Amino acid sequence: MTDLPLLAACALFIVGTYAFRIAGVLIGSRRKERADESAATDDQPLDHAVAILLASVIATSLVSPSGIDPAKAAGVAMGAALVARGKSLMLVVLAAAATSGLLRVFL
Amino acid sequence: MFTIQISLFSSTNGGDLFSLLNMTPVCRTVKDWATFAPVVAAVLIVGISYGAEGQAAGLPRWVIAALAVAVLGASSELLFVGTIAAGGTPVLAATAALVVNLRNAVYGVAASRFLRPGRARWLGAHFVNDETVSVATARPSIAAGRHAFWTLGSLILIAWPIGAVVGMFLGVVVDPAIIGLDAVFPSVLLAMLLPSLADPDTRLAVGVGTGVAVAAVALVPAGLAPLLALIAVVLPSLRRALRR
Repeated sequence: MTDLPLLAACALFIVGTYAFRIAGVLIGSRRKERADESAATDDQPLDHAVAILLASVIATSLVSPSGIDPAKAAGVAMGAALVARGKSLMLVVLAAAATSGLLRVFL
Repeated sequence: MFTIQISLFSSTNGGDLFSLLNMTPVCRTVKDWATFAPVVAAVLIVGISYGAEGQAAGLPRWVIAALAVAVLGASSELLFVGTIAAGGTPVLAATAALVVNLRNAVYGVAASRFLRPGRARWLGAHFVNDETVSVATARPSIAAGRHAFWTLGSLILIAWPIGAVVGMFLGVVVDPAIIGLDAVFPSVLLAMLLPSLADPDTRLAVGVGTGVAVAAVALVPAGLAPLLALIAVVLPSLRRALRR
């Protein structure tokens, strides 16, 4: 039988996560409605916020309190180099995985 | 449990979803699938490791599957099972995982432009995550972004739970790091992010923000560093004000 604390924790996890998402969506929609009534909103800070979050999620997935993971960082760097050359995402992903996987085998 | 969830999804919400997709006359190009396929494959394989880790942590199978469908947030769920496996209480695990998901509120604001008012929006909110928002906002138009958001979101809703179920029945923890899979998600996000860095304002905000996040990693719980980085969002307007 599943214990009660686990069920409560799962409920908290599920409800909390959805609450964050729907709150963001509803705030965004209201913001847009208000903008349609008056002047246009400035979407730039929002686009910047998304870019900052993405970059920070990438960076913090490479760096942990115990240090940097060199194989993973090399894989992502390889991916970045191919993105900059306009390669397809499929190639980018395969090269990134192959680079960090092979480095782990040989280092 | 899992199959019931999926059939519910296709019978009740699927109608909304697909009528919405058909309303946007966007060509489903090969390029679309070249973007979605690697993301979905990676979600599936990481899902397998989540299922296996959940099993190893002693969680009931139906809990692992239900969380996969109802939370739909890979990194937070891996942290959840990881915390329980390490001996943390369920409430501690849920709280830590929720902190990781806080950023979805900000993503939700950005994703609202792809969601029309109505019932479908309540399902769409569930699809908000790093991958869907980065891929959708990188699209040239709102219509193309909407198509990408719904398609990728639906595919992840299918791939993540399937991976979890496969993983818990395999029961073998295949460490995604061994085949370099942990480098895949950052690379996908980077591919979506890089074009926007052509803009000097974005470069300033992202550069300083990333510095803040990296500096904060050792000081704050997982998931908080990217939120602290958001302080850099004021920099472009600050720079403009100073130049005037």
